[in-house]
Amino acid sequence: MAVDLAYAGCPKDAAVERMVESVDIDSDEAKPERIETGETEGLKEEPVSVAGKKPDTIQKNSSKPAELGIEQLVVRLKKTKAIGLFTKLAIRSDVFDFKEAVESYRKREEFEENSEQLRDRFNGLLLKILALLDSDPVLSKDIHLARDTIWKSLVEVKS
Amino acid sequence: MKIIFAFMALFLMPIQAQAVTLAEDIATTIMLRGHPCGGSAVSQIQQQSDGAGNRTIRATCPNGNRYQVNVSSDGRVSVRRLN
Repeated sequence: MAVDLAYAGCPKDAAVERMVESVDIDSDEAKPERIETGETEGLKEEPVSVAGKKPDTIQKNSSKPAELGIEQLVVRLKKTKAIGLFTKLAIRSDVFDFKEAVESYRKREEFEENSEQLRDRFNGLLLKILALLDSDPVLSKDIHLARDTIWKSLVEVKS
Repeated sequence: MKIIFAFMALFLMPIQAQAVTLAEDIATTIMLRGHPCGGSAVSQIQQQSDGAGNRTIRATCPNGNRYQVNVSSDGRVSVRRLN
């Protein structure tokens, strides 16, 4: 059997490595909502959250997702027992096909016109992966939280 | 009281992913490629591999359809129906 079992997942990529450095865990989703009361006269302009606590306090108390970098997610996807080897290879093939489609549109300078269609295809692919990770909800959640980062890493221009 | 603690421990245990079997894995792969399978596990699995590193798996789905899953040496997966 000459099939290399180690490649059951996305390969390391220079683009992916660059994205790992730029991953911002403190995204907008971690920020508390503000309530606009309209009664600001005579009051101090302090941001008030939904629960009436200062946003700083909430950010310190909220538990941050542990690993949302692309590289870590790929490693976790490789290691998870929720998906079998052949399924991982099939997903990997789909990711490669998607990247090839992106490259093809870029070469023809049609990426901007087709970005919405590509985003739909990406969402479908991500949905497949999330459905497969039904028995690994932690990884599923982390991939869902990092969806924009994954999208950017897949469509970014390679130098 | 012990029973309550046992239940609490059960619910507080971290959820770990259960390993999928080869039969489930192949069935999922077939369905991912858009083929109907009629269930979550295949049967009558036959595996072959050639010297170039290509692997061929033949399996029967619960709906009676028999498929061939081809895994090329570079890890590309394709599925075709046999019957």
